[in-house]
Amino acid sequence: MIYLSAALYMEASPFIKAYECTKNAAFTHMQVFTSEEAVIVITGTGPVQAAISLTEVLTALPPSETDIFANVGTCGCPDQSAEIGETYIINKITADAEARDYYPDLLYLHSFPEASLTTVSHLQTEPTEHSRMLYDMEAAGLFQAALRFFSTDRMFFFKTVSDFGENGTSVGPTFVFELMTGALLGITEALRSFHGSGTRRITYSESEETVIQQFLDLLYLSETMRHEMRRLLLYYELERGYAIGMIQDFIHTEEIGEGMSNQPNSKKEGKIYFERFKDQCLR
Amino acid sequence: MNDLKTSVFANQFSHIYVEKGVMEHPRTAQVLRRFSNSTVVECSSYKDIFCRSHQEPSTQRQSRSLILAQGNAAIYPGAKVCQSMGNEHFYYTSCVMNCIYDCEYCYLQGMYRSAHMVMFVDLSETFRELDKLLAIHPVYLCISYDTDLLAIEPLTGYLAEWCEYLATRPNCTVEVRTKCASAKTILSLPKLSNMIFAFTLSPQEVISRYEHSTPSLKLRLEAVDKTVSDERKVRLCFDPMLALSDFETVYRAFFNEVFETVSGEDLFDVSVGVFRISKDYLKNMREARECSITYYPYTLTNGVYHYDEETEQRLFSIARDELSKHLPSDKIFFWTEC
Repeated sequence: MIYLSAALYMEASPFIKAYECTKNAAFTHMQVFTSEEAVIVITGTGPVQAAISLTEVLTALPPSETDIFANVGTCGCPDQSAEIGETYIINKITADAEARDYYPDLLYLHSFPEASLTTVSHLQTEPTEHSRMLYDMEAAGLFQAALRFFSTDRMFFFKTVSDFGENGTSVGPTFVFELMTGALLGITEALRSFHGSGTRRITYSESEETVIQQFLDLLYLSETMRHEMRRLLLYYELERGYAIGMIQDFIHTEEIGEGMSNQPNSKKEGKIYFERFKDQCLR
Repeated sequence: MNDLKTSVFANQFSHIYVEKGVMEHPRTAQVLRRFSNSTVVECSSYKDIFCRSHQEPSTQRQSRSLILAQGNAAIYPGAKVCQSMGNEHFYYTSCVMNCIYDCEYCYLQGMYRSAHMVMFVDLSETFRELDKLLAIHPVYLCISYDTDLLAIEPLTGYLAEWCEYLATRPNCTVEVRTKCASAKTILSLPKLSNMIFAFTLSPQEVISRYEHSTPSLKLRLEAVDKTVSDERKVRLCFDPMLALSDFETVYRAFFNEVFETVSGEDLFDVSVGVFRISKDYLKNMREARECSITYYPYTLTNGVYHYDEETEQRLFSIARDELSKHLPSDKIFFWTEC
C-alpha cells in the first residue's frame, strides 16, 4: 500500500484519479481517499495540522512493514533559476520553528533532482539567501508523524516548484492542479519502483500460524517459552527450511496430542518436549 | 547466463552527509573528490542521521551513505567480550563507525541502529588523548574493531596517519583487525614493529554464507602470505568460530588449508574465539536482521549469549588440536571468559 499525503485537494487530485481512489466515508472531518493500492489524505496546511491528520489516518489504517509513505505538493523556491513545475525529491527537511533537521533516507535510484526543504509555519514571501532551498508548510510535521509508522527509508517527499516566493505571487487551484498533473507520472513510477523493494521478513500464512498456535498450546508453554519457541522456529526456518513441516513431524513422531499416547499436562512436562524439539532443530 | 535483474538501489555512498564544522577540512575535500558524483548534504551533527530513530539497516546496507564528522577523541577500555592477548593496558578506539563488509554475525548490527558509515575526519584529538595515556603506561590499542580500516584505507588514509604517529611511540602497540585481502595496501605502509595486522579467517563455507562482500579465504591467505613475507607482524584470528552443521569436518579442513599456505613460525600469534554476544546487542541484532546465527538458541551467562558448554568445548578442542600442530601454546590465545 502507498500512503500519500497532500495539503490541498488540488495537489492530490491527479493521484486520486491515478490510483482509482474513492472517498472513504469513515473519515468525517478530513478528506481521505482509498483504493486497493493507495490511501490518500488531504491534511490541510501547516505542519501541526498535517501531522495531526496523518497520524489519525495512520492510526485508523495502520501500514504494514513494507508499505511506503509519500508527501506530494507544491513549494516555493527563492532561486529564480529553478523551473516552475520542476519536481524535486527532498534529502533534508528543516523545521524552521524548531531549528531541527530531518533526513529521509534516499536509498533508491531515482531520476529527480534533489533539494533541501524548509518547512515554515506561515507563507514565505521574501526570497532568502539560500539558493535552491525549497519552502513548504507541512513536510517537517509529516516526517515526525510518519516516523512513528514508517522507517526512514520508506518515506519520500516530492515537491513541485509553484512560485519564487515573491510578494503578490498568487498560485491558484487550477495552476496547482496543472503542476501536479505534470508531476504525476514521474512520482507514481518512482513510488511503484520503491514499493516492495525494502527488506522483507519471514511471515507465516494464516493456516501456518494456526499450526504454530496449536503446537504452543499443546506443549503447555509459558509466555516466555512461547517467545523462545518462536525464535527457535525462525532459526530452523532460516537455517534448515520449512519449520511447519518440522512441527508436524515432531507431533507425529512423539505422538503428542489429544487422544494420542502423549499429552503434556503441565509446564514442566511441556518443557521436556520443548527441549526435545530444540535438540531436533539443532541436530 | 548473466543476471539481468537490475538493482533498484542507488550506489554505495551515493549520499555523503558532511557536518558543517568539517566542510572545509582537507580530508573532506579528499573524500568528496573521490565521490564527485555523490549528492552532498550538509548536516549539523552526524547523530542527526546516524542516531535517528526507526532506521532500517538491512535496507540501508544496499546503499550506504557516508557521514563525515568532527574528530572523536574517545579511547575506550577493551570490552570483556574482546581479547586482550595478554596485554595489561588494553584499549580500543573508533575513527570510523561501521564497516563496508556485511557479516551477518557482526556485533556492529547490535551496537548501531544505522548501517551508514561515519568517518571522523580529524585524528589529531585522538592522538592527543592517546599521548596522555602513554605518559602513564604502555598501551595496546585496537583501532579496527568497529570498522575495517584496511579495506577503506584508499578512501581514508588513516593507517598511513597511524603509522606516522606510531613511528615515534614505541610503547604503543596497535592491532589492525581486517578481513581485507589487499596486501598491496599493507606493503605500501611503513614497516613498524608496533603495528600488528590481524587477519580474521573463516572457512570458505562461512565466508560464502555469512560474510557478504568480503574476500575469499584464498585471497585472504595470499594477503597473509605476502604480509609475513614482508616481515610484518601478523596475527590470525579464528574468531568467531561458528557451530555450523558438520563443523568438525569443516573446521579441521579449514585449519589444514590455512597452514598449507602459512607457516606457524612466521606468525606473531593467533587468537581463537567462538561466537558470543552481549544480551543487548543480540536483541538489537534480532530486530535488525533475520539470520540463523542471531536466532540460534544460545545460553545466557552474565549478560553474554554463547553456545552451550559442550558445543564451545568441541569448537575449542578442534582449534587446539589443529593449531598446536603449528604453534607453541604461548602463541595461541583462547577467548574463554564468560
